[in-house]
Amino acid sequence: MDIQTRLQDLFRVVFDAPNLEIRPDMTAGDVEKWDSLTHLLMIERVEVEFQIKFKLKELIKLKNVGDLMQLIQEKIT
Amino acid sequence: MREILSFLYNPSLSESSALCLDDTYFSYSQLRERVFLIARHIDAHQLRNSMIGIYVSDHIDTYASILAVWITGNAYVPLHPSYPSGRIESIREMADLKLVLSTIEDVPGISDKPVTTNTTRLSIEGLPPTYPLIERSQNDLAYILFTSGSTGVPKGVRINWGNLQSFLRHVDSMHLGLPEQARYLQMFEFTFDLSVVSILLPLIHGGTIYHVSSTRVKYLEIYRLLEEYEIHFAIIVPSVLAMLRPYFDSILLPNLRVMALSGEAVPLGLTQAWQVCCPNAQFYNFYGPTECTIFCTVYKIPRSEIKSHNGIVCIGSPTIDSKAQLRDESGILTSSNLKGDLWIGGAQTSPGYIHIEELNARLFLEFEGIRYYNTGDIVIQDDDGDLFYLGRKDHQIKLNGYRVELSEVEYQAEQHLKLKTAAIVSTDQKGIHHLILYVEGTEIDSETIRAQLQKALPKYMLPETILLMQTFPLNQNGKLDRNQLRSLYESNSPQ
Repeated sequence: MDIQTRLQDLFRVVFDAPNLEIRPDMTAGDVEKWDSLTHLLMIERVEVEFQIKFKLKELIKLKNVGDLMQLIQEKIT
Repeated sequence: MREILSFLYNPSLSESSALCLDDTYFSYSQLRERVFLIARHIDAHQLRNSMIGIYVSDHIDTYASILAVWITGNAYVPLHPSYPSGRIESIREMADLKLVLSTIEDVPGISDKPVTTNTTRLSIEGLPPTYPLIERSQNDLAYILFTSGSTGVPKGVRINWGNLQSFLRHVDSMHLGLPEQARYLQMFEFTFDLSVVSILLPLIHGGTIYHVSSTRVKYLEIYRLLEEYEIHFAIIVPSVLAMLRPYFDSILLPNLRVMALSGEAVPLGLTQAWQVCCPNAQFYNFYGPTECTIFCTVYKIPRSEIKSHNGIVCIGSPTIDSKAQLRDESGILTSSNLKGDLWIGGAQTSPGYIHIEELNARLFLEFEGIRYYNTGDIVIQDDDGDLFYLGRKDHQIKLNGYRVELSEVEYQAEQHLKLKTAAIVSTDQKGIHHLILYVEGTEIDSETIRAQLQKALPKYMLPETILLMQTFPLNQNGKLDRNQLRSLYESNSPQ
């Protein structure tokens, strides 16, 4: 599975939205249950799923889902 | 009051930055222009000593509206976009709002009455460039904040100018030692009274407010602003710090001069770890319910030998115009070193809730000529007079800084579902609180329940998890056993 599909499956579970379709320009404001608490959980799950670790300075630069996908891509290659 | 708001009339501040919103700066003269424009509009409605609603947003006009309401001799009532329309409607009725200021056209819950003004559409053309401040007396109201109420109806806490002036007198006496044109973090919703000090303190001292946008992930945005803008003064809720804790090793904020923790019980371990990240900051614990104006006890947290009880940092001693008394359940003063309900009296204590006389008669009492409020917090006091928070006597909790009555969550759920419910809070290993709602019954699904609750409760009061259960566990007295429910949740929780 590609990064987008794996991330989408993960988002659907964390944000409790079974039909969520993620897009590169999607932000926290576009997903009802995306707040600090679920963001924290989402980052934890992404780290486990992709076997990577994020730095705080990387996280604060993320503007949308596209940035997250690109960061994951950089970290796994 | 004139002295508090004098920054609006100080020409030497004109070009200084008053506000930073989403990385855009607004000068004092730009803020002043918006304030005077909105003030002229309020004036056109001939309002004095009236309650004016402000439907808040991440916009300069929300800040300008608060100040405009004040200089026109009125009081504001913040309305939050996360409130369901029914809640806004009941606040409108209780507070008798005469006007609502907004940055959008239609405010949910406000239909034909009162008049709603989208301030972004007001025109400046032809208006005089200033507005004379209307002086207020000590008993005139400055704002009403609505908090969670156990009977399902929010409680409107009235705060007058006397309360606010006393509070600011204490802040002034703290001699915070901040530089000229200091930078201040503003992380609070306008419906939370810590926003009042986070707005007024910077402006009174000619500093800049750095607003944490509601559209961004809060704990990350707070760190970004602290780091990127080298913030000097911040009041932060401990649960936000708990979210940053996994990254403390990579955080160093040498420019932070004042770091206050507030809004919740302050964990000792978290405080000590955060002190390492802020090597040059003086730490404080600010404690206080909305009814006692922002904060009414202060503990100056040292770098070593921090006073604490059961892992919770000391809440210190009362502010200069406040008094603290510990009383037992019968209202009798407790002996020294015995725990008791904390009553706070003096000039910061609110004149009471709006239109809830029964509650006012029970919770606001006069002792030896001083009006006290029963906070419902259980505390003990040491020989130095410092207070230590032990817990609540009822089912009120703090969730990410928000005050939530578990009984209000249950009341609204039961009203809509016609089923028995039990709300509990579980704290995970990171120190983050989770709100769980148990529902007795299995012939309904959690999504239906959530959809019903969204109509009645603000977002911050919605349970994170909803669990169904055939029959609730009862304790030996035949009452609902909340501890067992909590244990059950925690034993099944992945965290």
